[in-house]
Amino acid sequence: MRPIYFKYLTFTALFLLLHFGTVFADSEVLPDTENCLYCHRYPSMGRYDESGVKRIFYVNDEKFARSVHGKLKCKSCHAGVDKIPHTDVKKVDCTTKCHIREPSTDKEFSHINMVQKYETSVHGNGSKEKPKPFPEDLPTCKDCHENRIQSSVTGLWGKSEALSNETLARCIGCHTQKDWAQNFYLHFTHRMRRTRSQPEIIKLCTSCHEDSQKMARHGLESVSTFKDTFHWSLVKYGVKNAPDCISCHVPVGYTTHDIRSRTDPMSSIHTLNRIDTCSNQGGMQSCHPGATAEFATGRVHAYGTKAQLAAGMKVATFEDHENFRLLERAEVDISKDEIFHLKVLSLIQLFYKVFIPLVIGFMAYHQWLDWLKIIRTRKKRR
Amino acid sequence: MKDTAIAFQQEEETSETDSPTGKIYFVRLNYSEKVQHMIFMICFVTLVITGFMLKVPEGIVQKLGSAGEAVFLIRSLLHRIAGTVMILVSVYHVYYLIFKPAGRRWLFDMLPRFKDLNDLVGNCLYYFGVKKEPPEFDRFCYKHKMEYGALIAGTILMAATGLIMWTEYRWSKFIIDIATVVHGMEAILASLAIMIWHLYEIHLKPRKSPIDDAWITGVIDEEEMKEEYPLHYKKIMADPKLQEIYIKRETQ
Amino acid sequence: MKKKIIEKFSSSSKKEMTKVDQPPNKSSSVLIKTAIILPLVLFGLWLLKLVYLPPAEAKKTPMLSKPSFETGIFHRILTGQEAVSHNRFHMLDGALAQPEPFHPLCTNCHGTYPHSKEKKVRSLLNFHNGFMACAVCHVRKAADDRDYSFVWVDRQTGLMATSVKGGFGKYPAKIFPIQVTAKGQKRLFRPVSEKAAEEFLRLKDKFSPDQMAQAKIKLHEGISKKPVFCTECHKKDGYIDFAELGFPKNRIDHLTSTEVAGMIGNYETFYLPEAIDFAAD
Repeated sequence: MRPIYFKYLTFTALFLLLHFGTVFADSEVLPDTENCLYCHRYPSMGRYDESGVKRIFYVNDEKFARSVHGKLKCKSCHAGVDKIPHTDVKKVDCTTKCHIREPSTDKEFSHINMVQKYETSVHGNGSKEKPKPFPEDLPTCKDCHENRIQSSVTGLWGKSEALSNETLARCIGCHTQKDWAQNFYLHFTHRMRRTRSQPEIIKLCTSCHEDSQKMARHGLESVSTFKDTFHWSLVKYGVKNAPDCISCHVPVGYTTHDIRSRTDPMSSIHTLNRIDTCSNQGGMQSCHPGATAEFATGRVHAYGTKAQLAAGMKVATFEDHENFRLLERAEVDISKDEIFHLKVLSLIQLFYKVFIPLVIGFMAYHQWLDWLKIIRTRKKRR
Repeated sequence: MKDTAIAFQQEEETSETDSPTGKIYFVRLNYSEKVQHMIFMICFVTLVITGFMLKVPEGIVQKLGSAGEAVFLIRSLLHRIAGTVMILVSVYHVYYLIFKPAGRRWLFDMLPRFKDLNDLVGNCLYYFGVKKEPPEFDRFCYKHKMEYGALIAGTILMAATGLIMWTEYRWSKFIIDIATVVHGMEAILASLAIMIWHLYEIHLKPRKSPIDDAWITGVIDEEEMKEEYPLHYKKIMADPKLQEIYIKRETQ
Repeated sequence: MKKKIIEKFSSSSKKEMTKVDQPPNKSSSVLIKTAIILPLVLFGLWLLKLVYLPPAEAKKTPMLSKPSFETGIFHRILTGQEAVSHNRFHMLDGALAQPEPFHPLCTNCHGTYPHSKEKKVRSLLNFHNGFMACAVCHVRKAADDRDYSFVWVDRQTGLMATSVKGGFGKYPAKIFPIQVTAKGQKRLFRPVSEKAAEEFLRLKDKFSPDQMAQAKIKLHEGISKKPVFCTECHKKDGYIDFAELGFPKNRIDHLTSTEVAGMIGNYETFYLPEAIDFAAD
């Protein structure tokens, strides 16, 4: 069996080599050198796994070839896939070296820098001495990342395709390998803009952060209060550069993989860094350019459950451990000033909630009486 | 606007005149007041629409699609323009009240008096059928005075909180939060009050059908004057000076 | 000129206004009033709602509540929220999300991924599901049955097609078995009649567990105990005539090549049990 198989492979390789130039330039489809697409190109390949989750084993080869990982071999990430059926497959580990040379250091590339940074961030697993509770809640690479299709920068001068063509033409003068140049160009320009729109970012973050139970386990409250802010109104209407989660939590000079707690001086929303964050100097959009220290301290999301708990406006039930952490954190996190602010705000709201029906009720009653009287007198006259 | 008003009256004249001297009309709003009202009204409607657009649920807003951004930016701009114009009109109104004779008359007539409380009680008793006749109203009755007061208070609150939010980076977040809550709640109160208290007077009131036009013409006829503001009517009829101010006589 | 028009208009409207008490104009006046007032009333109600019942987007979800029935795992499956809502890393295309109005009856109960028993081959078997009806393998034709053959059937219309465009599992049609009747008409072959399946689905909640077992056996009566095995098709002159289905020659060569057959052989030796008996349940 083996020799025939081998023969076939060599033949395929030879065939591909002969036609390499044309095949590659025309279709941009990666040659299936590892024969994975042999099965994995069939759309309905998949199954339900042991926990009832639908697993789709289908890979669209064209999309993959155009993706940011398109030049990698399957086995670079899916280590251990050596046999059919695939036994002993390891989970994809983004810190593994993927046999691509990083040009600035000429060392083999891996995502280990990001992962290490991430592990120390607020989303990371915490230190070994003090691991975080409920590690299964913490997001891993795949929860936020997908194998995006490379796309060059859009929206500049309105004609991004023409722009790409003209720029690329300049590259190709020296870098005569067009594929390489194009790939490099895409690699660079793909990162010249945010890949996710504001609503997409909000959807991504809230997929965990609006899950109040999951958040309570870590002493956090749901971020749905963001939707009480003016920032959200801008997002709702689809305004470009509208402030979403990362606009404030990852402004210029910070990285998404290193988001930190607001009590950490390295956090963009720590009181010390707030002025820079609110004014966003150096960013594409200077949001509040004249921000004062006074403006930049205070709660941006509307007051939520935590503040209500701390202010005693909401009585917590000590039924389970998870809510206990929320209470615990509420007592530490919410300052006395904030409690006072919350109380004043709710008092104003309460005032209007009483005042509006009183005034409007009186008005409506008065006008109704007036109307009745006019109708009656008119009937009498007739 | 003036042409239309005259046209109205002339037509009236030819079709309904029965006295040879011409029908007389009573001025409720002079030219300046009409213009002030018109500008203020346009601003108010603009502010209400562009303001509450922020509160439109996500699902409806998303139907705008890519036009959303333009809509939002225009909305923001219009809200600020209308707000500014409203503040300017209000400032002019204060100037008008103090420095113009007609304005001073307005202010004097608008001052709350003990009679207004009496009128309020009296009118309610009339509504309940305890009294046979409604109280006699002067130029501005208690309804007008209450609304005028509410308008002043509301405009000041809305302008102040609006300006705070406009210059948000100068204030602490706490002040902005208060401004936001007050601006929102006051807007709801004002819109509801205008709809129930003010629009009733011009639309819904049975005798004003489908719409009262005093805000365009600035005048009402003798019949209405007698019925609605009998005290003022008597005063005018007794005083030639007031007659000069308040009576418009149509000549053929 | 303009003035005249205004005069004309205003005269007519003014007349209306002055003679409100007369009935002919009353109804129109009421209509106009309603047209003005109704939107205002609705707007007012919305404003009140803003004060007392903040819109859903700003609603604070009750955070100190215990997981309720509503958030249970089965409810989440029903609403399409998977147990673990991980994004898929490799970008998908439309091939999977395409609705399929005409599909094998079996998938109504067995789903898109019906094979689950044989761990090592289930995904391989499942991908055949994308372009073949279950009956192709699970109903074995008699060796000498010349009236039984296979044909492409459009997923959208359910009409038979002689040839289809596509490749590697991405076809607008699926292969179904057909039977040629005595009159020479081609008829889709259904191992379970639509009528029987409908009746079963209608009554299935009423069955006792024992009755259910009985009914299931009866329902699957037409299914062959031993399905057509991989190598029966993936070989030269196999169970299915690929040429008749319109496959190009090089594709047929590939499908019946020693490469595919070899891989299956590998499976057969190490991972597949001797025989799969579907009569077990």
